[in-house]
This record gives sequence, C-alpha cells and structure tokens, in this order.
Amino acid sequence: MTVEKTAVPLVVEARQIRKSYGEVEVLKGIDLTVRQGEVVLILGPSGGGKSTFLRTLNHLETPDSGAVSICGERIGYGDRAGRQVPLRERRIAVQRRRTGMVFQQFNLFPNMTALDNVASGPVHVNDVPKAEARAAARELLAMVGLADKTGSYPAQLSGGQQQRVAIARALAMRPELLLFDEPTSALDPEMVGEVLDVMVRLREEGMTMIVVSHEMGFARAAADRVVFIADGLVVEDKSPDLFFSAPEHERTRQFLERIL
Amino acid sequence: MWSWDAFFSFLSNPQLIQGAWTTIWLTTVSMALALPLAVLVALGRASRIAPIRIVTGFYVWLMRGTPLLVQLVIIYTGLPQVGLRLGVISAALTGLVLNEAAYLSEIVRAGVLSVARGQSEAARALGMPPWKVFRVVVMPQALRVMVPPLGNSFNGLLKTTTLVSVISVEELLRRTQFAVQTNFRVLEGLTAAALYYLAMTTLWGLVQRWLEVRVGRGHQTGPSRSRRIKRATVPALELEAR
Repeated sequence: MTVEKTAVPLVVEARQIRKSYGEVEVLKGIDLTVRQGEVVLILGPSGGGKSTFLRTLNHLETPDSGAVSICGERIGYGDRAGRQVPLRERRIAVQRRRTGMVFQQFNLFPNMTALDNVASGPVHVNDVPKAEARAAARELLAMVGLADKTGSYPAQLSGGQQQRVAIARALAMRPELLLFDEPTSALDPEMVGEVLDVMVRLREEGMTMIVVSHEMGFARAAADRVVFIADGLVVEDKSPDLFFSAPEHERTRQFLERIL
Repeated sequence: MWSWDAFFSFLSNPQLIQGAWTTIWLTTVSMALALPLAVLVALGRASRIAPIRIVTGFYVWLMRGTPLLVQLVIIYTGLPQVGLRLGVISAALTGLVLNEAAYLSEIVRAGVLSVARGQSEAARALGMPPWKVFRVVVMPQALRVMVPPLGNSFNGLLKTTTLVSVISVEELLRRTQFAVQTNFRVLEGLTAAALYYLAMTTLWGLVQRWLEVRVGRGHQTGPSRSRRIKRATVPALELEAR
C-alpha cells in the first residue's frame, strides 16, 4: 500500500500459528500482522478457531508451532545462547502487560468493587500505590461513563456496565494492544451499543485493537480490516468495504449469505 | 439423685475453666497450623510434578484412613520406641495438626476448584505472575466457598480434642474426669462439661457467621435479588395459610 502506512510500526506479527486439541487441528497455520492504531475485526463461523487464535496472541493458549511477536518481542519464548526456549509463566506474565484482554463473560473479580477491579492491575502487577491507582481508575471509569458506579460490585451492575468496567480494567495497564473476545455476545441487545460506543472511542484515540465479534455494524463503522477465519485458516483479509461487497472466496460468500 | 449444688460447683470449678481454656487453645493453634499446611498439600495434589502429587496424595490417604486415636497413641507412646520422644502437648498438636490438615486440604482443593477458570485467565491476562493470581484472585474467592466447611471443621475439632485426653493432655474432658473422681457426681460433672462444649461451639457459630459476611463481599449484595425473593415467597405463604 502507501509508503506512510508501512512506516507505522508493527504491533502484532503472528506467523504460521498451529494448534491442535487431540486429533482436531483447530489452527492450521494462521498469519496476521497488525500495525499500530489499526482495528482488525476477526469474523468467521463458530468452531473456526477465531477465539483460540486470539488467545495465542497473549499466550493464554500455547501454540504448537509458529511464532507470535508483540511490538517485536517474541511471546512465550526467550533467547538462550542463540536458541529459542520456552519461558516460564512468571516471565510470560511480564510480556502480557503490553496486551489487554476483554472477555465474552467479562470475568470481573466479583469480590472487588468496580474501582478496585480497574485498579487491580496497576496495584498487583505494577506495585502502584493504592491511592494513586484508584485515582487513575476513577478517571478510567468516568471515561467509560461509569463515574457513579465506582463503589458497585459486579453483581450490582448490568452486563453492559460490567463489560465497560472490564475495558477500563484492561486500559488501566496502558496496553499497546487490546484483544476483544466476543465482547458483546453475552449482552442483551440494548446494551450492545454502550459497549461498542466505548470501543469506537478507543479507536479514535488510536488504540490498536483486535476484535473477535459478529457485530457487522461495528465492522463497517470502526474496523480498518476484516479478517475471515474458517477451518483454522485465514480465508480473507480486506477492508470492510471490499470484504462485504466483493468477497473473493466461495467460503466467505457462503458465510455472508447466512449471516446478512 | 441429681444435685444442683454439685452441678453448679462443677460449672464454677476452676479446674474445668482451665480445661476449657486448654481446649480452646489446642483447637485454635491446631487449626492455625493445619490450614497453611492444608493449602500446601492441596497445591501439592494439583502439582504438575508427579512425585509431589504422589507424596501428598499418600499423606491424605494415610491420615484420613486411620483413626486419630491410633495416630495420637503412635506419636506419643509408640515413637519413643524408635528414639523420637515428644512432650504431651507437642505430641497432641502434631497429631491434631497432621490429621486435620489432611481433611482441610480437601476443603481447600474444593474451594480452589470452585473458582471459575475465567477468573484466573483474567488475572493472567492483566500480567499477574502465578502466585499473585493465586493470592489476589483465586484464594479470596475460594475462601468464600471454604468458610462454611472450615467452620464446620473448627466446630468438630473443638470436640475432637477430647481424644488427646487419652495421652494425658489436661483439656476439658480430662479435667472433668479428675474433678468427678473427688465426689463421683458423674452426671453433674459431665453435664457441666457438655455445657462448656456447647458454649464454645455456640460462640464459634457467631464468629463463623461474621466471617461468612466478611468473605462474602460482592456476593448477594444486589438489592433487586432479595426483593425478588420476598415477592416470590410472600404470596406462597399466604396461599398455604388458607
């Protein structure tokens, strides 16, 4: 493409990611590169490996082969005497701090208030003093429109509110990259909008995001690229316009016919 | 004939009061030592390293499969035969702690397993190292599930300590038996002792309820939930009354 676009640094570089569960090969060699500030939407039939692939990017799933690099750093492996050796979980934890993740089921800590959920990363991972972390958490909660819910426990919040707290929690670590694993799939329809609004705003602020989702509206409005994954492979990787108007592959057309 | 005088003199007997104190002390110290050991054993049984799994599994199997009374007599009376001599209190504590930890480890294990997988995943995704995932996220939530059965164990242990009277620890039962030997008022003496046990377990029940509220933070706090329950139950009761 254009010269200025290639000058933007790579945030994600995944090469030939493979993963099997027993006999079933879920990922059959997936390649993906994402540049800073890009929003990539991953679409595809369920069971096609989208979520599994997303989880290899922060090593919640360990790929059987292939390499993931975030901001140029190989995830899960370290260099020892010129050879790539698997890192211990303690070291991988350090690598994960660059990547935030938002889950389908929110996964907020039920025993902490919204404020302490958001502050939990800075306090327990970066040893930021509690008062300071809480002040920053308060700002993040205000940013996602929940300034009045700081003292609420997750059980007292709606699904949409919980997911916005979860986004704020991920942002509190100041990640270079945000991963969204079906962030709106567990929400009632009227709450989907409030979560997508936050995501659109993050995009405007230049956040790099990879989103596994079926939200076509979000794909059209906010995605720079749509990546279609089926049967463990990347079938199509295009701008949303081209993806929806001129899909190249039969597999993509079948999928689009069914969901649109 | 039942003698109230004898009963009340047992109740206020400093021997019994001191025995009750020993019982409380033994129970609390045993529990306090057994719980960390139980956490280690539970972690050991979930370990990726096979020898650790086998050793901890064997320990739990052995301790739960043999009577505490036998274990106590072996520790106090049997071990000196191979040159390991423990004092009365040390022997009692050793037996109680080793035995209790085996049972508690099962409670800890169940508690840890009850925490949803997504919780530790969220913590890992934030970049927490493994021990922080356990201490900050998994353990506090496991505790909520563990407190009722742990409280049950504490209650049981208060009464199980009577067994150490066999190796001559002067806890409540043994002190009562001594006191009874002065006037042979068995019924009054042991009723008084039973009352002491009842008082201790009742007091513990209150402590446990307070603990449950503390570790239950964030759960069942929504006002809508209790209101819904009330609305659902009230008409049902009215129907029954008719």
